[in-house]
Amino acid sequence: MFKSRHPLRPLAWAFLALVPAPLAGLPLAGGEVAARLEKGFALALFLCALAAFLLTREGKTADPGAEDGGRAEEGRGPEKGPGSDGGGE
Amino acid sequence: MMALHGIDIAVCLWCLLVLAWLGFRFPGRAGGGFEDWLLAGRKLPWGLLGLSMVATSFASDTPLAVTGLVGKGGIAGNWLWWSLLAGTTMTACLFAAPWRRSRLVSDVEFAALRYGGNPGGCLRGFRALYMSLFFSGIILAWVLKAMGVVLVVLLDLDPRWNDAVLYGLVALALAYTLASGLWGVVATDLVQLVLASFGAVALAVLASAEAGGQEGLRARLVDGLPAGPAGGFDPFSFLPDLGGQGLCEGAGLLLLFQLSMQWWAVVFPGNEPGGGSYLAQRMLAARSPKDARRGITLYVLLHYALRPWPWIFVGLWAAGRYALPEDQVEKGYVFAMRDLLPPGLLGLALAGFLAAFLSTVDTHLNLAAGYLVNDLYKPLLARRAGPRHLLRAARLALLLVAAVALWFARSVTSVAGAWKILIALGAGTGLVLLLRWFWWRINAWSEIAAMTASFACAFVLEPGLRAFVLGREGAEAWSAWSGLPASPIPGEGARLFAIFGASTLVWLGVTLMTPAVPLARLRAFYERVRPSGLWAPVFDGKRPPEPAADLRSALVDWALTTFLAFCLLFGVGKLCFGDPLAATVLLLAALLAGFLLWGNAGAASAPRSSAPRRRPRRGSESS
Repeated sequence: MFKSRHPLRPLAWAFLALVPAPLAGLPLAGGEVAARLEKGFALALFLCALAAFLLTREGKTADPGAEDGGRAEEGRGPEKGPGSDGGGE
Repeated sequence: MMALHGIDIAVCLWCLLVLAWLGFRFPGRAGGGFEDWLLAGRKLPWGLLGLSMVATSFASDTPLAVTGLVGKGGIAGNWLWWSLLAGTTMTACLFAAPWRRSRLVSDVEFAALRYGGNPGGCLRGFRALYMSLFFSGIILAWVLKAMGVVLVVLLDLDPRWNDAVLYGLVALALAYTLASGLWGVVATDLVQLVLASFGAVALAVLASAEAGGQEGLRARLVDGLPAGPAGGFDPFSFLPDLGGQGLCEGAGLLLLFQLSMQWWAVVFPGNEPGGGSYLAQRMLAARSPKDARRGITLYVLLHYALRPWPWIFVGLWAAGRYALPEDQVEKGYVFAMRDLLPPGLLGLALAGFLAAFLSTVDTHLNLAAGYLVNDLYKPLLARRAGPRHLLRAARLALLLVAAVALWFARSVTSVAGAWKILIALGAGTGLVLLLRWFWWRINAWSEIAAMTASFACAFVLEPGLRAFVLGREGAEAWSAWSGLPASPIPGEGARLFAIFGASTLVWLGVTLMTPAVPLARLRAFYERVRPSGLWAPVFDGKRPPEPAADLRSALVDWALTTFLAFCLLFGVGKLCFGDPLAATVLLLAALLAGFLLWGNAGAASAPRSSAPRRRPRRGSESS
């Protein structure tokens, strides 16, 4: 689950790294509502991280079923995609 | 005195560090070439696209602007931008898929694909310069100004240090956009959106707790908003108050224009009828036409229906709490942050603001550099350049754009005045931007005439625009020379109707008097995009290939999506403001519209997949 070459895998780590940020303010939270908000936010970030880990696990690629000739994800050359010059001058 | 504690600064810096790390994680993906850098290799799924657009449209000035609207006109003050909803759903249902099928690199390039020739080339060059330097300069100046307001209240630093913090943030956005392109932009957008949204919700919850909930807030605002017009009005009403005037006069006429025409007739920066600027960039970067369409639909629902409610609540709370003068109402949001958020949460909310600022700056830097390279440098100087060469050029262009934008932000004294030019150029051009997809007869001169006529009309009718362009003395000299009163048509609504009417007459006349685009180019455009509408004459009596989508079905989708978005908007609003019965009815209606939309999508796709369809020629598909 933690090793993946999916392009968006760094997102999962970023969300996980942010979990301590709301918890850092907890000792000074200043009231029950604020403390619940801090905990709620930490939980939300953790769930975001979990979702991102699951969505970017090995086997899930960023471009399944591209409708118009999408290219392979890795090892592509510098050439353009089909029709990418947009019919310009 | 600085409102932040040590823990706030630590939390804020940690968030920025994580964002910077994330922003620099994609250089490999962006390094394949110019298209990979600008359009993320056209691989973005719809969820990421939609959320990224929501993050971009959430700038540091947005909560402040909503607070200002609510403080002056109550909840109904938001009709200024809610009126644009139908235009964005139209983009989702009618234009997102054609944009993606066009396989353009930028929306400005449309002129070359659709019109070609010298007029098309000139239009493309003008738009590229205008969008990359002027448009981006104004947007960046605008968000820098708003972020400055937030920092002044919360950090209370010396102005020079305030500027240093702002420029440091711009440098951060510049660095990761340089390295990672659109991949970096959309990935950071997602985290930025979570941070910024949570900050807004936390503030609204604490404002509600402080006011004693719904009833407490109502009691504070019972006599109308302190900053509102004399006589008072119900700040909780969702429908606009016309102050006793009819729909054909004063504020009523303006509202009539906003509701009936603004969303399709006026080009607002970021709200181009049919899609443009960053919306078009995201549609072009989608991995398929279907993803482009779903991405915009998600954006509409989140941007219009869900996101504004915490800001509106805080705006009402601030209006009741601070009684600020009319030109200071917007600051109420930052004062609320300062006074309501405890240590820790304040740092997170500030991080959310900084994130919103970064997500707007990185998108516009990336987009502007793309325009300069794809629509100026490449057609004029580097027709045969490879993708890596163009990528290097784009990275240099990014530095140029950032420098120009910062210069713009420092030297243009009135951002509002510069904004007027943007709106004046687009006040009567919306229709031509829509019809260019549906009517073969539209040519480059139509767009050039629409912009010119729109600007000329606005110049004659809008005293504010004249003062910005000519200066106060020049504007007075103009009035003396022309003999016209300062404002020949009183009332903004009447002025907008006049500008639209005159511009439409001019561009229609010019279109019919100038030659049509060569048929070969129109056929190439049609075969690539396969739009609906009036294209039969292009094929000289032969039967044209079937359009990619059934127009009637797309129109039904549009009506249902608009209905769904409005029901969701007001349903969530009623839920927030304590009317569960109305909320239930509206949310059920939204659910029904969602089911119908789902069914219509299935019905629309079924005949196309089962009917024998002429296969496009291999050459036309991959040319």
